Amino acid sequence: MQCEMTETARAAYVDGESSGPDAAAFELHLATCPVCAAQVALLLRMKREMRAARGRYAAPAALRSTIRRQIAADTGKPARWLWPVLATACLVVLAAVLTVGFEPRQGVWNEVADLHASALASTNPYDVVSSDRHTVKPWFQGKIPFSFNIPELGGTGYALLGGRMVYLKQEPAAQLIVGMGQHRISVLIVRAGVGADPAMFGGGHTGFHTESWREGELRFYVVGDAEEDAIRRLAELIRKANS
Amino acid sequence: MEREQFEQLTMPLFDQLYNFAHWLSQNRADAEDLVQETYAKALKGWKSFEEGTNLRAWMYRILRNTFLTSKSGLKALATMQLDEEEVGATGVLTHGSTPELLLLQQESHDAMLEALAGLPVIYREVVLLCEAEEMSYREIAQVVAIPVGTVMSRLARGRRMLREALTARVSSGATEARHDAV
Repeated sequence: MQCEMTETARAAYVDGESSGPDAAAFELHLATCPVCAAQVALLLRMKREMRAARGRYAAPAALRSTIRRQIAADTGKPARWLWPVLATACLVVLAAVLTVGFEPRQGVWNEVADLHASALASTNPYDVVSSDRHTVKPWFQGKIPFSFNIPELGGTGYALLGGRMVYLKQEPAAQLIVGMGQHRISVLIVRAGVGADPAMFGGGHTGFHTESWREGELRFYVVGDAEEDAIRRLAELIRKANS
Repeated sequence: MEREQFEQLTMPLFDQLYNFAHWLSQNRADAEDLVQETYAKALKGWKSFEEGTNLRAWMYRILRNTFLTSKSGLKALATMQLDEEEVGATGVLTHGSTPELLLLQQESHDAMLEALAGLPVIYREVVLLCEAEEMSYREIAQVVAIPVGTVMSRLARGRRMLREALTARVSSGATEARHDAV
């Protein structure tokens, strides 16, 4: 098998250096060229492994303070007036850490709500359109690093509309869209531990009704503008299918 | 005040600069000296830094040049054959090296990092800047002060050498080395 593509062209694609049209053309080629597919897979794998080089060596704390002192002045010691300032700075940092500590929860809910809202607003909200769970579930295979079950929704008042692949806290996630009358409900499934797992509490602050729970390695979010009870019942169906 | 501004802008780069320094010098004591010297030089030259240009690239360049002109840097440069550089960067592969892919999959990332540490310094630095620092080709070109095309060919060569090192690790013992891959 011959391939005319250069090594640097493949690398540029993998490094995100190809411009839009180039990248699109390369992707077309990639779909049919086994040589490029193997090489790109290899490059991506090396890339992933080598990211570990980033945090490989931790700088000694003493060096940081040495350099800080150097910058501050050549005399070496921080001025006497600096100590109260430093102490205040520490308190501020501590307060910030304590405040921000609660942020991830909110952050996850905000993202979940955003994903739901963007699906509602989109003219093309589904990557896979089907009311058949046996079509929707296999579609996610190879796109997300886990699998999950979709319950049979026939006769429950809910209808599966489709699904799409999304990112939640930079992790691949599955989003199912379920209809109930005129309401749309999103079910998001992501590996547990993405963002900080929120406790079991309704995210009333997002303006939607929500449910969330963890089942083994997975975390589920159900979000929508339907009544609280409708969200809870759907959550129950999904929970049963996955326990 | 100038020093405060300098500190505010450059200290967030400290951890990454140290990591890069350690990767270049391959030992802790040299890395510490290197980072300290980098900051000292940068502070001295702070007036020459043009606002609006890439500060990260500027700091990395100072660090990198400081290393290459140091004793250990000169030694690292001397041990590699510069004439090998930029040769066959656009080599065309004639087969889909799937067995190679399988071989590499057995390797842990420790082995990958070990191979990276073994690369000649001029390839090690571009691979690190690209993979660990996630710099764009343009930014790497600024750090190393070479054209973007040379960044690409060095990256290609560096990656090829990494693969060769890993493949050699796995198939050491087997006489059939897969040199035909390049």
